[in-house]
Amino acid sequence: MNVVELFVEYKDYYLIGIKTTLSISFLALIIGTTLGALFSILKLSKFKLLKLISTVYIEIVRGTPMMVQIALVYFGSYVAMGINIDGFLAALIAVSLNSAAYVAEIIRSGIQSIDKGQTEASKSLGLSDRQTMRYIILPQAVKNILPALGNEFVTLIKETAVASTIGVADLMYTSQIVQSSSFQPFNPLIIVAVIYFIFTFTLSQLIGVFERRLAHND
Amino acid sequence: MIKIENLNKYFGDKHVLKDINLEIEDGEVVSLIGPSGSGKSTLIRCIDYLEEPTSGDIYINGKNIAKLGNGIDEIRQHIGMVFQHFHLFPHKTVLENITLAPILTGRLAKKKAKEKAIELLKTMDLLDKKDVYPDSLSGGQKQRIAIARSLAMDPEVMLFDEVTSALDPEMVGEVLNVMKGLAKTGMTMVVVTHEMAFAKQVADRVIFMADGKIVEENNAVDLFENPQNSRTKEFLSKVLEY
Repeated sequence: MNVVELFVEYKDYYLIGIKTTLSISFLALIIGTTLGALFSILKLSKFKLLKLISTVYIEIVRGTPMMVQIALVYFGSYVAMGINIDGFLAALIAVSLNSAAYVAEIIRSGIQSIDKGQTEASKSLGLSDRQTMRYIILPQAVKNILPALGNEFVTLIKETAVASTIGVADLMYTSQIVQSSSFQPFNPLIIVAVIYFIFTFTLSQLIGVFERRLAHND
Repeated sequence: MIKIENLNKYFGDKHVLKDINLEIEDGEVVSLIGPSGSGKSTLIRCIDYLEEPTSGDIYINGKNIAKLGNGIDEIRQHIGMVFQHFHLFPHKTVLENITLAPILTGRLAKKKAKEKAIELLKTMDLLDKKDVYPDSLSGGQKQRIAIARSLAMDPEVMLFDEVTSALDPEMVGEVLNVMKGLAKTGMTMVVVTHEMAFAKQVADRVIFMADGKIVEENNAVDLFENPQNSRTKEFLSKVLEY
């Protein structure tokens, strides 16, 4: 069986995998970005405690492997809290929390990259902190934030593959099933690689369009 | 209208303003001169509360700005500040740069703010630039727009922090002319400057600072022609040599 025949033969499996991977990716992207934005606000906060909480969180998440984090959420939720959560939910939580840390850093550095003089000029005109952030800093920071955020989204899609390690029927898991039931070790990997690539490539093209549109507004 | 009492400012261990006492009357044009590191920029930034005084009080129209909390935003609406490096908003057109603050603070309606901006641009002779972004302007043009942006808020005081220091020499004149014109309208102005000729011609009072202290102050003619303090003499002999 060649690659195409293999895909057609097992397409129902692949569809389930695609659906799961896309669901985790999409939901984690939204949750992760929202949480990340919150953490970036904490990290930029004047209150030392809030800043510390955010810093500790970000450092721990960035300093440990995703595969460990997902296992910690999956098995840890039972050991620590006695709740049995299903694999999909565990994967979604772990990927979201992981992405939040990276997004927080991206937004923070994007905001801090704007010259302090912009804030001073805005405040000297009598604008409040909130207005300064909304009308002066954020519109400029977005141009720095967006490309890095695009990278993070692409990484996120690829990283969802670790969900397979806790038995979630995502694309990677599907590929392992197909490998063992078709007795073909190589071709199923080609198929998932192509599918992941289609996802990430489409996403990065979309972000590219968005970036160019922003640049036009200058 | 501006009254500074026993103002001290530290940056870490560095004592950059030492017990400053100063009063500035309505309509007065005051020039702050002195060697770099003397604290004159820090002083002017304290007046706009961009630097927080370590101790001492600053009263603006009788209000102690250190005790205002968020009320400082309201006070700042009456104080214009122009910076050495312009700090125009690069994502806004020239017109938007000028209308932004009056609109956001609720000072003027959109249409009025625009009319006012156009009027200001006319006096700056920059009306043809109203729809371009700051990127495409020369330094002198940027600084005149920055002045217009501050004036759009109808400030009672204008603070100028070395506004010509980052300009090419041939552009200094156009900015100084705008400032001269402003002084003639009776605007209260505090000008940190290295332009001695400007200080001499335009300022009602010149204050010489060194090492975080006000060393000497006098009317412009007397301070330049008959300085009393040895530090002032030394500084003036160096800057007026050429």
